[in-house]
Amino acid sequence: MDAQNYLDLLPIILLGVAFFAAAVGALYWCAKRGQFRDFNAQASVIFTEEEPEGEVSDTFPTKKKR
Amino acid sequence: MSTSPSNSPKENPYSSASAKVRAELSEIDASIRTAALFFVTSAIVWLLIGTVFALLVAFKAHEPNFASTYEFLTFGRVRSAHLNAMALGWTSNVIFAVGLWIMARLSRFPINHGGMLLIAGFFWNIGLTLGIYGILFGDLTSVEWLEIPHYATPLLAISYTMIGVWGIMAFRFRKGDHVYVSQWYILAALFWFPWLYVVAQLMIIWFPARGVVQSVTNWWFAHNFLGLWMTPMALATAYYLIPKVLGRPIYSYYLSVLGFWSLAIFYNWAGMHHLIGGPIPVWIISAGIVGSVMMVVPVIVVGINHHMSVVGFHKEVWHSPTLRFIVFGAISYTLVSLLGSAMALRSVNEITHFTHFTVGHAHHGVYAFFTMIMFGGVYYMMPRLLKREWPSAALIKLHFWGSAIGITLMVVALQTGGWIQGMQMNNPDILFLDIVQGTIPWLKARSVSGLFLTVGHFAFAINFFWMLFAAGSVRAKEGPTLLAKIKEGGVA
Amino acid sequence: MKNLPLLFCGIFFALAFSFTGLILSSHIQLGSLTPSTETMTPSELDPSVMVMVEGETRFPQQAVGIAQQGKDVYISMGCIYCHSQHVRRADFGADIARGWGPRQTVARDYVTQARVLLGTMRTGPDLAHVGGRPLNADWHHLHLFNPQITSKGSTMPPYAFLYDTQVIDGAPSADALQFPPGSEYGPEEGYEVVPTRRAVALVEYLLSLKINYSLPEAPIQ
Repeated sequence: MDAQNYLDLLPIILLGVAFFAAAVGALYWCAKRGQFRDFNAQASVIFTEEEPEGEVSDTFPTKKKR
Repeated sequence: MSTSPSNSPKENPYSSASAKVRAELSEIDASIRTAALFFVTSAIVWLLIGTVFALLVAFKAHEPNFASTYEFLTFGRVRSAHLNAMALGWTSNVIFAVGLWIMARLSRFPINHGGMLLIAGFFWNIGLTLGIYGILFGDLTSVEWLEIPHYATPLLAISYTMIGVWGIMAFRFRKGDHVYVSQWYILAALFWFPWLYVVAQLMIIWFPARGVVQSVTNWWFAHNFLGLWMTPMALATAYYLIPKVLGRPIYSYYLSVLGFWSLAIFYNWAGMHHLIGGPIPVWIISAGIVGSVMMVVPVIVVGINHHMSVVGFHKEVWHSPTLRFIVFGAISYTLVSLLGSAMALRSVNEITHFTHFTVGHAHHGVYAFFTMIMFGGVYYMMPRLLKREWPSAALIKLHFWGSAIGITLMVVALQTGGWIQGMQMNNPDILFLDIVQGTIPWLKARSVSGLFLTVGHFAFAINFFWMLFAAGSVRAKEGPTLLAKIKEGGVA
Repeated sequence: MKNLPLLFCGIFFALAFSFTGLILSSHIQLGSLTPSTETMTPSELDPSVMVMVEGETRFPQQAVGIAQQGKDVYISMGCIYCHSQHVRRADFGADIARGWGPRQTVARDYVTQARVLLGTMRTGPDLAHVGGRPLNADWHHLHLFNPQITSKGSTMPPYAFLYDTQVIDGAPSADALQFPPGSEYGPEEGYEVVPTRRAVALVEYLLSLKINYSLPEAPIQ
């Protein structure tokens, strides 16, 4: 493949770089907006009153009725 | 073993203040019950069908005369039927079941339009059945991971659209402020899959691109089916259920953000590693190798996150059916991905390409990682949907051991045999037929491993259908969503 | 990360990046490749530009007729799942040393194919150049009918359903399979095995697979 073929790719390469930059930019905007703070609370979102934090919620089924 | 300290439950800012709009988990589970049960049942039926196809091809690989008189059972077709039954039947249905359930729960509101999911699921299974028949009777496309004939694929596409739109709407109209990591993975996968599928179908089957552009598109699609559809869904399940079962938050939420975005950026370039040494421009192949090696970043990040979340809680992991499977899967994720990054290096690929090593790697990822995690997801979800316990702990253990032993044996056998095969193939003095003969003991070991997996699958299916139908003989549980309170010391 | 539109943007751009970089790029670079003469020559108008030689055959040639029908049989049987169709370069694997082709295959070798069957498994040998090996139609028919006849110990399945076993009516048919004397795989006394049209097409397809031409970017050494 000679250089001419690769020149055809230039618009696509630029577009790809633009996409990558947009992705990085979006992440930076998020960081600035403060969405990356307070991670600990975000991690606790899965717990509720029925299945609260601090309780193990799965085990093997028992054989006998209690 | 630790249970909830009754004196000081940790303050959860998301559980009290907006209680008015945030529904109880039991209500959400009840609202998605029918759709989720439909998808799990479909998934398990297809798992069994796919397992039968798997046993057939495994035996045929070392007994070529086995079932060879019938054209519809010829190796190439049954192998394709196995792959599609597992990829579209087991994998996709269980993703719909578990992924949509997690999405519903984290959206914190009973779902709407569950009927749409049922209709979509129905058409998905019809399309797939038609497709599998088509494959067995000769209409397969011979395009890897896209073998379903063109007359069945539109059904799959329409069905998926309904499901994808539902998933996005459920996310759009969620209650509550924050979005958990599992939701990013599920949302991303729901969005990526149709793009991949439509491009691949158009550029390879319907309006074929010229020459090897088809191959580039093929492996962009096929590897991303694994990396951008199956992997995110499995990771979403692990990220939700590991902390859920243990009752402690994931080790580092920051790492989960890093893991998600590095996977999104790097994984979709990796597919070109299937074409190393092939008739395509070297720069495309090199880009694929770079993407494959960069995957080490998200894989290590996820590995650290999961490991640190369970360290010190090994007893709880062992005593939870869900976590036995999920942690097995999570460890396998690290292993298979690091091996995969190594396989993308040219010097390794020179040996492993075209051999059974690759088949072993594929099953390592699809089964030891993805399938084991989804088994865990089903074990957790079902009691909460049906408000019943699993009938038999013994069957769960039989399932676990059958699957764990089976897949370990399979991967070791195929990768040892495949490595030898590859080394021999690169030595032109060794006759090809001798190389073939050399693989046979390893292929027989693979068949034995298949028997172990089959035992596990039947144990799973029996337990599942027993739970589903025999309502009277299993104990109804007390309390809103949980099984009976966990006793001190646990049960195993 | 709570913002749906922004999350969506990130997810979109992540896949758009490889879609652009791999799919669109390869389409631009390779999508207009056409068959070429084996060598190029400097153009009369501008000697720095290489052009195809006038009057010479262009390769690869379009597969036609019964060989093209045979490709449909190859696809229908799923042959690709054990056989690849591309030759790697000489210092990467032993493809050329094994006689699987006189040179590596390149992108241009596949431009006339409606469905490209590169393949990723070599449970059986590579077939890109199988028509260039000393294996004639008779060998292929026997091999397909039952691979054990020509290749003892092979794990390739038999394709006997592509053949008809029929009573010999007077003289044997011209296309009846010639089994080795005393072969355990031959038909009973008074019977002969003849290929169906699908078998004939498949063998013609296999015989048409040849990398016996050079290309400017991949000359045969």
